[in-house]
Amino acid sequence: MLYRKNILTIAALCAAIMLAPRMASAHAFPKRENPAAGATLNSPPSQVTIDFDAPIEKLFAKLTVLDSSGRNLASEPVVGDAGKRLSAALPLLKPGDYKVAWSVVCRDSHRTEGSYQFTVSGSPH
Amino acid sequence: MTPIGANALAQWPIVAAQAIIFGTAAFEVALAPRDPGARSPLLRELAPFWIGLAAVLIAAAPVALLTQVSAMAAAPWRTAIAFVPEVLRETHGGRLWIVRLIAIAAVAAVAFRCADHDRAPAALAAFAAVLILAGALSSHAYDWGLFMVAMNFLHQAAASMWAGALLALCYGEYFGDRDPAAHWIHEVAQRVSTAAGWSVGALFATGAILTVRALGFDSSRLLYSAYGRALIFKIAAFAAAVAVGGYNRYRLMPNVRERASRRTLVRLVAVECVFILGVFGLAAMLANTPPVH
Ligand SMILES: [Cu+2]
Repeated sequence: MLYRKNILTIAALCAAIMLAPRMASAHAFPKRENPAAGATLNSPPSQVTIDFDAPIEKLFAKLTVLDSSGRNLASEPVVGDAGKRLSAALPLLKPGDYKVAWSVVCRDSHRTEGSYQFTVSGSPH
Repeated sequence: MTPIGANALAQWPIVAAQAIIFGTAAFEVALAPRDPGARSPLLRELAPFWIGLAAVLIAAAPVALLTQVSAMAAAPWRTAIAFVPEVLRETHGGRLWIVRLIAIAAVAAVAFRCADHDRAPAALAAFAAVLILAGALSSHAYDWGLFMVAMNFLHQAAASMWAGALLALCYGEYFGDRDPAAHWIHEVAQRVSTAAGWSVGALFATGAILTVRALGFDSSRLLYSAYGRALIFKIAAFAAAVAVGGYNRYRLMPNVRERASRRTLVRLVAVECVFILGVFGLAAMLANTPPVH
């Protein structure tokens, strides 16, 4: 009887873990980038936004947008959306390739970083 | 060295020392045999041991903190020092470091001033529990919710209990001058064995839950991710310790009153402890490795 109860408890526990709603990863990684990685845009974006899968620390949150000459055009980045969103405003971008580089520290103190590119088209006509 | 390796190496002594303090102190409080009304004989023998472990914590804490800050800032140690106040003030992990440093100071105060006081073991167990809890709250489990933090805490507490009970046994046998020793070790070994059995059960259950949360049910993640591979090594070291423990329990314990058997038992318990220390190192490794997501 007791044995059966234990099995049921364990089964319920396993089910609870599997069905846990948010599959947060611990160690923050991007869930969504805007503009998306590799995207080609017809009109220049006014900001870059990265949504992470876990809250990040304001301290150490970095976001740069480099033009082809390696100059950072992004303003000081802002952390929002309960610590899960990193964004930075951009001036009016000229057509060309841009490299977004980010690095963050999540609440378990672990650092992650990455980079990707997007292109602003609008070829001269 | 990679930040993962550096962090793991710097945290290893802390993880081990806090676990052993918690385990030995809790064993002394809850399980060590004593004559009613008399002072516990084990207390006198463990006191210098606790002083040594407190010294390890004091020496290792600044190293681990600086290593962690340097990994957070992706900067060398010398530059990282400047970040320490900000990290302590403004980050989740930093605030928990403040709790840790206070708990370490408390452990040291008890160990250096009055380790053989009757209430010292209870105080040490409580402060070491705070250290373990601070670790659980700054681990990956924190982003998985409080239930997983509780699992992480129980996992660490069970490992501590196991290691602590075994070390108390070794210590009592090596340094105790009891008469007759055979009787003492017979009684202690039985309690240690019971504590170890329950601990291993709890470790297995909580470990399974934490693993499923970190890796899901995908066996390829176990084999092909850094987290999975570190976990395989940890499970192997754990299995080795359990195998030695099982041999002790089922083959040597029944004859523990015989001198030869007793000596082998204590020696093998020491071997078991070495494997558990290895498990602690791999646990520190895992705690710094990104789970698959
Ligand atoms: Cu992490």
